[in-house]
Amino acid sequence: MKRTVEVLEQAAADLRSEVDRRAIPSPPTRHQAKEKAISPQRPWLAGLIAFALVLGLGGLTALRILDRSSPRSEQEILGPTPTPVPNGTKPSLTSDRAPAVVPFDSGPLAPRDGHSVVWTGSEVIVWGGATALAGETLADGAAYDPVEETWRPIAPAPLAARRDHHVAWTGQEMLVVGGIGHLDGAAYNPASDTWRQIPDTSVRTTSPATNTSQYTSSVWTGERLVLWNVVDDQLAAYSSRTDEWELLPAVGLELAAGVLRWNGHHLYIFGVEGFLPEIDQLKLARLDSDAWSLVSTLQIVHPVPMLSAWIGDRFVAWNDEGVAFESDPTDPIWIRSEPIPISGCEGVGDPLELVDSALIFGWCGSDAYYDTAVARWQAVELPGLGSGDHSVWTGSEVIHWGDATDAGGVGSWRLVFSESN
Amino acid sequence: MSVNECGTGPVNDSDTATHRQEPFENFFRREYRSVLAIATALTRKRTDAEELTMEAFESALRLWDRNDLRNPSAWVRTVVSNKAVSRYRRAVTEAKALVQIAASGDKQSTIDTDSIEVWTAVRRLPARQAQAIVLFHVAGYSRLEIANLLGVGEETVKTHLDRGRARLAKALEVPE
Repeated sequence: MKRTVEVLEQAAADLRSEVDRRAIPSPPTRHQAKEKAISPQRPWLAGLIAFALVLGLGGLTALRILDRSSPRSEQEILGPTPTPVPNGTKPSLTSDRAPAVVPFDSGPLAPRDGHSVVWTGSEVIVWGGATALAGETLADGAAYDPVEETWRPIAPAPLAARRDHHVAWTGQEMLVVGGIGHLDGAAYNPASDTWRQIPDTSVRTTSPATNTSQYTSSVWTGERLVLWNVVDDQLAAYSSRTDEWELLPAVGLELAAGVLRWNGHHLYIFGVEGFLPEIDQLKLARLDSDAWSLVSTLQIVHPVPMLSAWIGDRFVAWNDEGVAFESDPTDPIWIRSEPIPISGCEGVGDPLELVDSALIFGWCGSDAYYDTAVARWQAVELPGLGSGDHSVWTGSEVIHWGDATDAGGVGSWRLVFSESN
Repeated sequence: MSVNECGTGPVNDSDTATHRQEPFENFFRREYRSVLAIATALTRKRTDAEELTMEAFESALRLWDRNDLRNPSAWVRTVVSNKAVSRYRRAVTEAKALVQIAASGDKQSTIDTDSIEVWTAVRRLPARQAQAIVLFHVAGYSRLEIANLLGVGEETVKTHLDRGRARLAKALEVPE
C-alpha cells in the first residue's frame, strides 16, 4: 500500500504547486453572497437539460432533477400555471438557520387518513383516503396553491372511493393507481381539470390476509410508476407515454416486507425476511436490465425497510433508535454513520426522499433533515405524526397535509427553509 | 478539532472573539488556495473547481457576520468537499462539460500528466472514499480530523482510506 500512498503524495504536491501558481481572486462581497443565495441556479438549467438529452435519458429525467433544483425552472417547464413559490430558492434541504414550521389553512377537505399528496410544480393536490373515525372511504380532492394560499376543488375522479392508493406526478398528470380493494387507476391533468382512466394493474395493492396495503410499495422513476407487491413478489411499471403496464422480473428473495427505492439510475428494493425480534438483516437488491441481484445485507437491530433513503451519492438506512448506516451502491459495504437525531421516539414515519437529501419523521417531536451543505443530519421539531407520503418538497419548503388529528382537524404545516439575512 | 467545531450554531466566547477579530477578506485570502486544492482534486475542470470554491466562501460569508461559524477553516473545507462529491453537483458538472464540449480538457493546467491520471481515478471512487483521500492527502487532515469533519468514526475513515487506496492501486496498476 505504501507505493499508492507515495503516488498520492506526489500527485497532491503537483496539485498544490499548480494551485499556488493561480491568482487569488477578489473575495466575494456581501451583496454577491446574498444575491447568490436568493437567485435560482439559472446557469445550471441549460446544462442539466443538455446532459439529460445528450445521454438520451429523456426529458423527464432532467425534469425530475429540476423538480428539486429550482421551482421556477420546474414551473416554467412542468407546471400548468407557472407561478413562483415564495422563497423558492433552495436546491435542496439546507438552511443557514433552523427551518420554521408554519401552519396553514387545511382547506375544504374533511380530515382523513390513507390519502395521497402530490406536488405539481404549482399546487399541492390532496385526494382520496378515508375518514378517521368511521373509516368511510373518500373520492374527493382539492388543490392548494401555496403562493396565493388558496384551495380549489378538483373535478370528480372516474374512480370509486379508496384509501392507500399509489400516486405519482408525471410532469403533466397525477397518476392514481390501486388502493385497498382496487386494481384500476386514473390520471388527473390539473391544467384542464380533467381525468382519464388508465389500464388496470395486475399487481394487487391489497393484502388479502390483513386487507391493508402494508405489503405494497411504489416509486416514480422519472418515466414510470413502479408497483411492487412484496408478498406476491409481483412488479409492474406503468408508463403514461405508452399508457401500458409492463411486468418486471420478480425480486426472488422471499421477503416479508419491503420498499422500492430509485437512485436516479437503478431500481432498488430494501427488504426483510420476517418481523421476528431475531431478524436483524436488511437486504438491498438492484434491478439490472432483466434480473435482480442482491447488492448487500445490512446487519442492524430492528430493521424496517421503509427507513431508508437515497441522499444523492449513497443510501442511508436507520432504525427507530436513530442508529444509521450508509452505503454507496458501487461499494456494497455498509458503514456505520453519524446517528440520526430521532433517538427515543416510539415510531418513525416514511421519510420524504429528495434528490440529495431526506426529511425523517421521528413521531415524537424529534425529527431530522439531511443538510446538503454540511452533509449532516440536523434536528428539527415537527408537529404530529408526519409522513413522507403526506409531504411534498416544492423546492424551498416542505408542505405537509397529514392525518386527522386527535382534535378532529388536519395536521397541515409548511416547513420553510429561509435564507439568511 | 471537535465535531462541533466545523458546524454552525452558537459559539463560545473565545471562538466569537477570534472570529470577530478577523475580517472576512483576510480569511478568504489565507484559505483560498487550500480550499481550491480540495475542489480541484475532486472536480474535473479548473473552472468548476474555482466556481465551487467561491460558492463555499459565499456560503461562509453569509454566516460570517452572524458569527455562526465555530471553525470557518474546517467548515469551508467540508462544504467544498461535500459539494464536489455530491451526485447532484456531479450531474451539473457533467452537463456543463457537455455543453462546453469544444473546450474539453483543461488547457491551462500545468499538473503533471501522471497526477492528472491519479486525480481522475480518485474522482471515480465512491464519494466518501474520494473525500477521505483528498482531505487526507491534499488538505493534510488526520484521520481523526476527517472523522470529525465528515461526522463519522475514525475507523470508518480508515476503512474509506484503505478501500480507496486499494481501488486506486488497481486502477492505476500500482504495486501495493
